[in-house]
Amino acid sequence: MVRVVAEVLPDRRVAEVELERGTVEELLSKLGMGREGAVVVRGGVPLVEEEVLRDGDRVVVYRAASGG
Amino acid sequence: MGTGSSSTGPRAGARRCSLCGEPAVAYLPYARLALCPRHFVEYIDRKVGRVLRRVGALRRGGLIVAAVSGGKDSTAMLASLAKHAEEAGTRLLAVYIDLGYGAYSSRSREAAVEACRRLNVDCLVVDAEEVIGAPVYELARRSRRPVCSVCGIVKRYILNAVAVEAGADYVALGHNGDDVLAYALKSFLNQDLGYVAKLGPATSTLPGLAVGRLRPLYEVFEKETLIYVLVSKLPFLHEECPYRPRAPIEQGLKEALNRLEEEHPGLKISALRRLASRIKLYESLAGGSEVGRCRHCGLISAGDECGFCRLTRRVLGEPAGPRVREWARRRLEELGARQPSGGGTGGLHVRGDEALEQDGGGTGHPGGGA
Repeated sequence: MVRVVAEVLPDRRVAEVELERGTVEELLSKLGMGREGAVVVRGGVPLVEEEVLRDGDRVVVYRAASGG
Repeated sequence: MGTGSSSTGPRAGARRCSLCGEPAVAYLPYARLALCPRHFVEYIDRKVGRVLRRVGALRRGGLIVAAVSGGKDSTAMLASLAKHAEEAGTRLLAVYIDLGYGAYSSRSREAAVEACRRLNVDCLVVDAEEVIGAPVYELARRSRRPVCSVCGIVKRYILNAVAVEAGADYVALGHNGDDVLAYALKSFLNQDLGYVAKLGPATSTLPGLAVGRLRPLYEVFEKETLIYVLVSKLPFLHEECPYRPRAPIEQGLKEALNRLEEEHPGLKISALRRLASRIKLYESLAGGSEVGRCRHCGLISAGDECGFCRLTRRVLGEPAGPRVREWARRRLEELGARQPSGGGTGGLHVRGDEALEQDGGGTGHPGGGA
């Protein structure tokens, strides 16, 4: 089990998420987002979807899709 | 951030760049490519370069006005365009329109001006309230129109007026591929097929009336512009406008398209390329609507009065178009950025880090919107 803290922008919502596999893709799915519409960043570095997060990681999730 | 301690190494499960083997920051299923920061930026710059060359946007000694808002898209657009423009000997002038939306505007203005400074591009800040004589929300309130609709009219008008006065070849916008597809689908749903004709990578200039629009990010997706500004370490504002509707149709369309893209990688890029190749067809469907000249300001208009002059005349008692043009003329002359004949070379000696801003209004808002 991997616990991460995700700050979602532009919503400014902070979520504590528990993950089984700990992948970025799993995090996005738990947050109700698809991989095309968001970028997960750790320490200023964007992560690909297969990247495995570590217990205690803090990440920023940039929701890409915005209104017109 | 990036705190966790783990024995599995710093980048567990990470993909490697398809080109050099360094850790990847992006995987692009439609291109079957994983890319490290350097190769990702190069990949996006190449896509931008192809679009610019295809439409012949880069002319030695020419001038492109770039609409910047402080957001990720226009920042990425400016960064990539600046590289291509420098190579081609085309001059760039960034224009930021301060729409007066309080703290949100101040932050976006700060981000836009700072990005221009870092990219060494001159930035002209236009305070909408000062040049028009009333704030945008006041125009909206008194005309009983939605703020977004008035904001769109104001931004389009100011950008075009500045570009016409500067003798620019193009106004470059931050619209990305997802924006273009969402606008095209929305236009199809409304059966406003004439608007689809305007959704190519560039629109034509009508001399003296309207400067053509350029979309350098035509084949770059929203997620990619975000990664581009992050790995380029450029400042940008990732906030929503306080006047944004709760559920914009464009956002729903983008989310639906992204779900389809996940199931069918390549769907979006193919759709964009097909759309770009069919613009002439949509132009013929639009039936070549009449283009007129506004009797007040002399710029493009559907009838004899443009939307901006009509709006400001009704709300303020006199059309504001002429004063906006006069303001732009004066400021551009001060900057040495004016090319009255539309061909020669202007000065533009003022550097991005010098104050091109006018006094007043500590507020800002994305100026390069839809």
